[in-house]
Amino acid sequence: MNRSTISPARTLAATAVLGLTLLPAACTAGSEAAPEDGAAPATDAAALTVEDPWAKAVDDGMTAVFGTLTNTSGHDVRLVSAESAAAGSTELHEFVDEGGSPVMQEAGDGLLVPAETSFTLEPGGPHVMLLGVTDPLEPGEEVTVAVTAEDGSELEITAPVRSFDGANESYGQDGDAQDGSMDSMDHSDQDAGDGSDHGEDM
Amino acid sequence: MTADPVQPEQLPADGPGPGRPSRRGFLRGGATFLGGAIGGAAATFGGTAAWGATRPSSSSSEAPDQAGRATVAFRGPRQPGVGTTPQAFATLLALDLVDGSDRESLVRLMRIWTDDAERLMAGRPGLADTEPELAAVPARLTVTVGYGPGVFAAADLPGRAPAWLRPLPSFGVDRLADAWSGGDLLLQVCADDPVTVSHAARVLVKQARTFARPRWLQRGFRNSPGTVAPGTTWRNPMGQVDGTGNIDPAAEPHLIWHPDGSAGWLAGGTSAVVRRIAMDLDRWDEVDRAGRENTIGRRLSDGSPLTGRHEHDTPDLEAKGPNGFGVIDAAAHIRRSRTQDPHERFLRRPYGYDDGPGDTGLVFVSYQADIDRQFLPVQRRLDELDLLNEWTTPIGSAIFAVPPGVGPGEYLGQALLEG
Ligand code: HEM
Ligand SMILES: [Cu+2]
Repeated sequence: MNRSTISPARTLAATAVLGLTLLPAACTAGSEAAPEDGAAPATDAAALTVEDPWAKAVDDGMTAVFGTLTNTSGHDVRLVSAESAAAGSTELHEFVDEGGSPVMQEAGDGLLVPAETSFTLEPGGPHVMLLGVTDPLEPGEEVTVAVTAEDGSELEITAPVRSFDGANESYGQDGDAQDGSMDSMDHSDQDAGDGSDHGEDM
Repeated sequence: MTADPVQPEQLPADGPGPGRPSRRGFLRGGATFLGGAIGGAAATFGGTAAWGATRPSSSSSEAPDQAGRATVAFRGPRQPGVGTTPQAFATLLALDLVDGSDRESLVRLMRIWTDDAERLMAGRPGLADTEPELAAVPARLTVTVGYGPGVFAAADLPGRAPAWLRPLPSFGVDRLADAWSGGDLLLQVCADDPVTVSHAARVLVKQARTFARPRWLQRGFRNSPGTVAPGTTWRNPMGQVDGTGNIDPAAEPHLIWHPDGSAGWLAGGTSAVVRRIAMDLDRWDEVDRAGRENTIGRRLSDGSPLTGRHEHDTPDLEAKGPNGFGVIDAAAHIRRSRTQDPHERFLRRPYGYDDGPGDTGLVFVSYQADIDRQFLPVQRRLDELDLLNEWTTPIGSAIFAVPPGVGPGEYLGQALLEG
């Protein structure tokens, strides 16, 4: 009866396919939706879909990948690491409160995508951090990151690059653990994004 | 199969579902690239009388935010915003490519605009949209992209530029300002809500900022949905019923678009002429009703020709009055703009503008397959003689090639940039 209405799940899956490919061949079937008969997806990565991924354009230094992850399975999925050919190193980041101001840092326990829940990677929230970018990420290009789940399966996210003035959040003290090139990002207030900070902050 | 020239439109389903895109499609019939996106063709409307008129609205059962929720399909053999029944509000923007632009950067820009246009027209935010809530009201949003001569130079494809893609010759009536003329890229953004237009234009310009800088921006208006009876032709700021003698895109698509199956990257494409034409309304005020009607050759009351009774009666250019002169003046606008040559016709899609006292006029927009063959002869005739010239002055002029629509998996201009 409601034939004319596309269910949100289908819309989501259709959109996700555009920006998402899964690395292991075994995951292909799981990339669109959870298996129909309740069987668990073969891997953690296969339980996830990505909607509307994008990355902030940057000439060099740091940037991030955002998007909405949806866990279509009945069990939680924990993402533990990330990798990208476009960056010197790639980390999973979250925000913590440091003396009343939010700062980002590497997510110690990874990022948890609870069962049957959508999880948004967004400026000011959890994100996939690209550090030590040397080749410009130009608007209209795509950047690919592979996010690894606890079981070792990988979710490949292809994120279109877009101009963006936000996402200038400050880097927490834990960021000091990074290499020396990160020091310039180690500011503690929010008036980043202008002057010398431009384009270098997340 | 002949594709429908008019972009399929969708009206929302009856029940208001917050933020829920409805799939109950109201098609104008014909082929569509929509595939599974359209659930059912609940009604068909269109035809000569409907085009250019405020879109029909239906029964009292319609949702109160019906106009806001209606969408126009983005993908199809032709770009939306040409055959689309004119929406209430338009922003036309010309941009100039930054130095160092090349084919590669154009491809990136076109990928971005394709993605943004598709999302926004569906009522979804663009990627990296900083005001995503503003995208929730599509209101028949259309985004139409055109290429000025600069695109072909930047892409190093001079041989691909259509012969007619050059600034119009200057006319005696012209008082053109650089600030309103030219441009490498055109964005025509139209919707039935000005908030929607503003947001969409901002997203598109913002995401283009590393590629191109705005050159001029013209805002225009027509009647809002629900304010005039369905089928009513709009009135321009001079009070004239404007659009009666327009062509019907569904009936004569060849006048507008290069045939879908034809050779070359322009198949399914068209051209846009954008002229900013100032109206001297203060001096128009001095003209009595008879003089005003004589200027056009049509009545102000209902747009009927001075030789007929109803708006859509065919004007009789031969009819003589009691003293032997033509009932329709020898220099009346409709006499001068009409020609015997069936090719010298095109689609007019103008908007009114009002930027303050003394600054009112028409954002004249026309679409035609070939500017030289169709538009120029008419413009020349009007330049030579047209009573209307006494009160109207072109102050801006720009021309663009409008690439075809975007098929599944494609981006705007792909046939040109990769072909
Ligand atoms: C401010 C400028 C203009 C105003 C106020 C204006 C107004 C009108 C009006 C009221 C009509 C009669 C109703 C209709 O058929 O739409 C008309 C017809 C027409 N106008 Fe204009 N017009 C303007 C400029 C132009 C220009 C620049 C062109 C083309 C170069 C043009 C071409 C036509 C044509 C082709 C028709 C239809 C003639 C027919 O077949 O009956 N107009 N215009
Ligand atoms: Cu970060």
